[in-house]
Amino acid sequence: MQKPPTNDKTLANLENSMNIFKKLGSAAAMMLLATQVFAAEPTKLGIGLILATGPEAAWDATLMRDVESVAEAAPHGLDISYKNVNGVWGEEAGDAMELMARSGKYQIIWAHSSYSDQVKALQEKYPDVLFVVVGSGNEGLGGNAYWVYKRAHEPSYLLGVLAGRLTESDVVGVVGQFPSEDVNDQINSFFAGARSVNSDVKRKVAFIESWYDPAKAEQFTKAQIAAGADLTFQLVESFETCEKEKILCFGNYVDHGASAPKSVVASALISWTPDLNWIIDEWYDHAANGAPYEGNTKEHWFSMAEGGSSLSGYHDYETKLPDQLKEEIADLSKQIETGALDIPVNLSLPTSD
Amino acid sequence: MIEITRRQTVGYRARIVAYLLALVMGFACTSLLIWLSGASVMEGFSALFEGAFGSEEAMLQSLVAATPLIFTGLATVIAYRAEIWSIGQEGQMFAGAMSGYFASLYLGGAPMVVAVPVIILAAMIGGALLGMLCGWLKSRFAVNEIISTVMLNYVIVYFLSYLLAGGPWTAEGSTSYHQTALLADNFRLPLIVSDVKLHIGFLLAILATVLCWGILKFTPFGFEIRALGANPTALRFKGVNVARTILIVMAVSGALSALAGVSEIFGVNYRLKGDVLTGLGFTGIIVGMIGGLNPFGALIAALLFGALENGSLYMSVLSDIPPALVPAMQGILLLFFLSASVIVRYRVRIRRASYV
Repeated sequence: MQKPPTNDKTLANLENSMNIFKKLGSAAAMMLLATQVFAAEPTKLGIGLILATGPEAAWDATLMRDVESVAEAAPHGLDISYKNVNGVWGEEAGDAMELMARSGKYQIIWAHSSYSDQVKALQEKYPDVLFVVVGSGNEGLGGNAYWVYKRAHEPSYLLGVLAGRLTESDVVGVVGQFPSEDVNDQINSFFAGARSVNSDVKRKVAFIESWYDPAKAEQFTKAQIAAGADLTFQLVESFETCEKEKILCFGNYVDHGASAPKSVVASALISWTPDLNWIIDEWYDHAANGAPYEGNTKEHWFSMAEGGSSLSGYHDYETKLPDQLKEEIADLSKQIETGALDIPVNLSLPTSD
Repeated sequence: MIEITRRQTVGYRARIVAYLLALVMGFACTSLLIWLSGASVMEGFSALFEGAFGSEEAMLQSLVAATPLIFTGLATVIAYRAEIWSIGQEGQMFAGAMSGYFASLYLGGAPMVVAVPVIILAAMIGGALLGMLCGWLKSRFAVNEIISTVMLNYVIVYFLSYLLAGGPWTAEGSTSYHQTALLADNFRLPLIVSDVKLHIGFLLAILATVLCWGILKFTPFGFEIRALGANPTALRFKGVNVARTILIVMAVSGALSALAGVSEIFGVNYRLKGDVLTGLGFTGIIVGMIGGLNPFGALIAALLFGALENGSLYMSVLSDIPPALVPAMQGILLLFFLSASVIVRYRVRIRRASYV
């Protein structure tokens, strides 16, 4: 049986109308979805910094400096704010991290030392927070926990070359914090650099057993001077002693040439900017696009060529150093950056000769 | 002319009033600092209170922070009541943690009921031996205990460094650092409240407080300790072996300090490393002094310090107070407390000088 033509036309018109409504509905849904996606794009980022010491220590001061510069650069158009909690270790640091995570104000919690025990206890409880642990003494946890590593062995090698050329007593000292991997690598590279140009160099190595203790740093520096060192690589920032004792010193992490111009020839500098940008990109991808966190389980560090470390200028020694030596350092620096010269990472425990 | 004389007796009311005044004045000075920094005074103190006593969780966290300080405070009380000016609480605490860890290496899969008491006992022996060494040097060779204990603090910390820096106790499988591997579950102190890691070390600390008080007040040995402090010559004439008393005092003080190390490593951090212990021994000296060298006084002072520490953490995280102000605030409060402890023990008089 055939349907009457008039009814067919009515039905056809009805179907057309329905199709138009469907298309309009789909378009509206698409627009709504697009709006929602747009709304989900984060505009603000809070970073909580857990620091073992505080801005008085160069390790922490460099991070705070670089967080500020990254915040100014505003990657992804983010309005970035940060807060630091100073001088916390162990369980106290874990409590600080939990308070930060619970407050909802901090999307990234950057624990700037060996805190993986504490992060391990929190990472599942706060799956949207991106945790960062830094340096040796950590384990790679993966997931929402990232592991940033900092190696300054390349500029330390260059400082060693300067030391090897400048020493008169052929006794060169290093005063370090704790004998840990990311301290040992710098000391070993420093001596490798010194011995690459002066095979007579004798090593004096001491550790103050603290991440920051100016009194101990002074005692150990004086002991090395008494043992004949006329040059010391100061990982512990006792530059007043260098000035008082009138010896040459090398700075670490920040450019100490400005604060102790009479004694500091140059410094091995570090920058957290590439690390911060990497972590912020990871967080943004998760927050804006729903990408899962894929925290690294092995050490991840940026080389001199990638902007993770560098050699400072010479300040007052710019005019005092022989041009030939400055050219040698510039040439070695270029070779390291282009990959023509590879500075091996030596993690063994450095000892005195 | 300023004359300073020691008060013969000090009532508890006077002590409480002095310390309350110190607290009020400390907070007043801190408020001024916070106000000058442009932060909100109310917000800061609200966070401080929240961290110290504001919730059950916060209070329990304060007790966790207070536990090692109770032990090192008691260690100070015992030594200082005998007027043995030991600064070795720090080193003895390290020795205790190290001895406990050494014992754990031989306990393998022993059940917790066996492993934990053995670890505690080994730790106490380690701390006691280090304390006794200083006591022996003092009684046998008249070596000043301040010097010997300070020197041994260095020795023990560097010995730990040798063991951890690529030595036999270094953690395997991770990048080399100053720490051992994580402790097995059966070596960890049982928890009273698991969420905040309040462990049985706290109960031991309370028990130790009562025992110290009882020993000092009611036993012949307690009398010897007090007499050693007041008049060692008279004690010697009484027929007491002073050298032996010094040894025992230092052993007890060392064993108490060692318990602080055990509670932090085996009760909270589960990994032996130097940086989580640093300073707890020295803070214990302050706790003991503020507590008037009385075991219960030290207990109260340690609880206050624990609350202050936890409150300061909340203040650092939850308020807008500049982070550098938080340790400054702790320092100011400490100065007022120490001033109060001096004022309650000494009388300061200003007299006209007499030329006759």
